[in-house]
Amino acid sequence: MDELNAFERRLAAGLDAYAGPRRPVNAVAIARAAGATSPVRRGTLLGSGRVPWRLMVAAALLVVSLAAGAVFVGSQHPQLPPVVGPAGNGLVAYSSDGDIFVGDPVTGTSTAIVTGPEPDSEPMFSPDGTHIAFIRGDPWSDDVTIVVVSDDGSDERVVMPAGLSDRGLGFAWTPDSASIVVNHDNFPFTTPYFDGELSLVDVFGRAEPRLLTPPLPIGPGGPYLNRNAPFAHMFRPPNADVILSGGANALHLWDVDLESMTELAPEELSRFEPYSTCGWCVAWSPDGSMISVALNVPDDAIDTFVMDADGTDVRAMPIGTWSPDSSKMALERCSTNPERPGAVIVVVDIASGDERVLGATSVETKTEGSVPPRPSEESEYCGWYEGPDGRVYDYEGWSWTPDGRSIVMLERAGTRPVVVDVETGDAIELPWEADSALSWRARPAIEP
Amino acid sequence: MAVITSRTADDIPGMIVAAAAGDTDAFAFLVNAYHEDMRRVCVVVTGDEGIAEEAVASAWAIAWRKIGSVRDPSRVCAWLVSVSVNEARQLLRARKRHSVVEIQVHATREHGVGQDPGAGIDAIDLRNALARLDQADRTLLAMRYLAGFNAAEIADVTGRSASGTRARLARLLHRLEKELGDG
Repeated sequence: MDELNAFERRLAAGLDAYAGPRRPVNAVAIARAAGATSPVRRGTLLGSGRVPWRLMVAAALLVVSLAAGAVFVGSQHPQLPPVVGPAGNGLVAYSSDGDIFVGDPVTGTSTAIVTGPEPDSEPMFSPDGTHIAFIRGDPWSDDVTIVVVSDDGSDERVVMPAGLSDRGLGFAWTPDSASIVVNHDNFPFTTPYFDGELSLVDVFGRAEPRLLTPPLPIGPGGPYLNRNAPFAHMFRPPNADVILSGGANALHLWDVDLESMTELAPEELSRFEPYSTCGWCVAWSPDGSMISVALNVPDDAIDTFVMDADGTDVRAMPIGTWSPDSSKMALERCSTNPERPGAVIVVVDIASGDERVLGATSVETKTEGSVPPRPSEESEYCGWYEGPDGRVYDYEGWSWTPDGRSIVMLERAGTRPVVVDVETGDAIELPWEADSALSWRARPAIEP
Repeated sequence: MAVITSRTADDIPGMIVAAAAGDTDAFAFLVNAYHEDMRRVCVVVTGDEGIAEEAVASAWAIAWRKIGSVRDPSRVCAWLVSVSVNEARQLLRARKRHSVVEIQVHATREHGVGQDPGAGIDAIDLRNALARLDQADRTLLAMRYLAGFNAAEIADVTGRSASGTRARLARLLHRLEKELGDG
């Protein structure tokens, strides 16, 4: 290349990075495919032009090329991403106008993989990235199903038929990607809100759906599952072999068949009221080494803790959604800045307790949510609670990116998600309008 | 594979002649030498790896039939790249769904670190800048700064004059420098 100035050198470096690394090429296979199928080199015998040789050759070469690429990728990384530890950021699933889309945050391209007249929403990649589950119908009606498709939208099947829930629906994958935990509510209702019953549904139809509550306690008053987490937080990663729940006087560790149970009752927590039955109050860290728990205290507030999986090293800690590497928590709070009321995401370092408020960015992702304002006392929590200005704020959804470096937030339905780097505060607006929280597919991490 | 690795870049004129005569090993030598140049340029032009792969596969089918028409062996790389880019642009036209979409960035630089002048341009800024360019300009950019062709080589395969190509490159560079800064 001719002599380049400084900007041209930077431009060349940038384009080189954009184009991606060079890959091994199976040149012999490509060449032989061309040589074996082209009619031109065979002279005039095939010169009628009726046979789509060019198309056939291109198709053959494409197969060879893609196969070579697949071999290359396969030789570099395992096919399925690890659940334990951070992964790379892959594609993003989201819903818009009742259809399911998969977008590439790198190129900005997006493809509708499930379309049709049915209202589809809330897609969620399985932890291994091979399937997408989503809700079909109004999730707050009894006419709602859960559908699973392959990552390209094919092989559609209903894993939970209509009628399972009479009021509201939520779901999450188990960490082993084999099942879906369905959060439903059926007559007779125990509370005027949401009773939080759970069922386990085998995605591949190898077992009948089974009710988990009881023996797991129902979670009255609100959704059981943490929508911001990439999998059902009560199932121990990576194999979903132990189910964690709050019990009367201890944490309960159930075997996956719910036939045997051991108790975990750290002495440090004995001064609190009996362990809450709140469904979302206990969660495994993504590496399965720690547990987070929220407990009622006598003044009807909630205190939160993190401990090792054996009940030792109990630490008071704000809890929310674990980062993929289990080193941080992210939670939604009200902004304490009177100039900028709204919800913010707070990231808490588990080791140090240090907090980082993502509201320090200048990105306007924090606006009044869909819950109508109502007068109330001040509260530090925002999601479905009141902010210090008496109004209510809530994100439509947010979650960690698989690499654990950013939080992706959807301010409200019909807006563009924003990805915020938790270290720098830099924010990127994705080019698609989404109706529900994004689900980011994990892919095997690439070593630097 | 030994056929490929035992030959050097000096063999390219001979490889072109042999490939034109139907020697698939010689053709494999060319595939090995230029496939990735073609694919990576197509990635920049289309912003889509899948289309880039498909375009290059289609381009090799064309090259097999027309490699004999290459008169100047030193331009074979530029010729192959231009064939693959033409295929990529046709594929883009046929697939409106896969058009390049602009990603708006609202970056908050006050928390960021200073930029290393020696490093490449910020990936997000570059991606957005590329998204605002038409395919002809993206092609020009990729051929010049990714494949490393000079204006004469680009002009030769695009059918434009060398001076016109240089002028368009200069305008494009000026525009990008304003958008992306000079560090």
